[in-house]
Amino acid sequence: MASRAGLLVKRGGERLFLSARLARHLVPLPRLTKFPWDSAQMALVGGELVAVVEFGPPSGVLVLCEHEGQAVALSGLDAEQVGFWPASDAGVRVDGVNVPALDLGAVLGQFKNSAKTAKDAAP
Amino acid sequence: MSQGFDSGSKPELSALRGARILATLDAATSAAARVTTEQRGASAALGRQQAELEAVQEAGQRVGERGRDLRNSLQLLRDSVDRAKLSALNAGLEGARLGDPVGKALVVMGDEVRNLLARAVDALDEHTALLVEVDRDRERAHMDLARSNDNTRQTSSALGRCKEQSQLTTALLAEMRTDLSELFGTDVEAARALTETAGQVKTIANSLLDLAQRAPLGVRELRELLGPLLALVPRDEEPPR
Repeated sequence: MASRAGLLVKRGGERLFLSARLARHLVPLPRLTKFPWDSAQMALVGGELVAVVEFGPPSGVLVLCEHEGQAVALSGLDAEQVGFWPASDAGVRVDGVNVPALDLGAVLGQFKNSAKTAKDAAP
Repeated sequence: MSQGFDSGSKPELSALRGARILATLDAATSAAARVTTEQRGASAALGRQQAELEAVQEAGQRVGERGRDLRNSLQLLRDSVDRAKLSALNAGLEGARLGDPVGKALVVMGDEVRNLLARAVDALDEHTALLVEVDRDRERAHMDLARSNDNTRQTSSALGRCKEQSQLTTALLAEMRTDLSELFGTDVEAARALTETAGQVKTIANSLLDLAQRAPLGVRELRELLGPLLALVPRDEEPPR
């Protein structure tokens, strides 16, 4: 069976798998700046401004990802473990348990939609 | 049956009674002086105890300050370990990107380091919890010491007031003694000698009376003879039976 390399994270009580192709780096949570009339947040990481998608309450870590050549940071995730695990339909199997992969494309799509809605509603 | 002599009633205080009062006063004055001395000793001991308590309190405060320093150090360590955990995860991510088998060693090593660091975090948390407990105990001891110190201070001031009263008592007794000495016109030593003499005279008189009962001389004649002598004996002395 093929194995997948990546990062296991926790969002609340839920375990998620982030592929090593997407997850690039982990950094201590920097100061996040929220735009007015928008749910988007920005952070300065390594001298670059990065959009931050919030998954939950601050965990002290920011997961830097790369999606379609763009840097995106995820907050509110607890990084648990890095490794190789057997691939499953939706993600990987860890100790016999299916762990779904985090669909970053879908998450960013939702984020863009919510940002657009907020922008339209702005005065 | 023998009949004792009565010294007869006296309208005023006898010199002997006055002497006894003066002797009692002297004893009371000595007792008050001893009390003052004891109080002085107790006051000094309390002062020492108070100084020691304050020293212990200061030491407790220093322990508290060191505890704060330790907590800050532990927090610094905790932050460093958290950073090191992130580094281990980042190294693992690099290995995961390289893929199996090239990056496997890096992933395994990163995982091992992360596990060790997790144990370090547990130990640090345990130390922090212990430090919090120690600080709580120290705070409790500090409060107990503060209460003890307050009590010692209160006892010390009460002792000071006792000392003042004791000194006042001694002064009043001395004053009373002077007044009574002037009233009775005698001093204690003379009065004591007089008491002893009166006792001896009484013994002699009773012996003579006993003798007279056996001899032809009448009791009345003998009483007349001894009357002036027995008048010296104080009225409240119990007559011989």
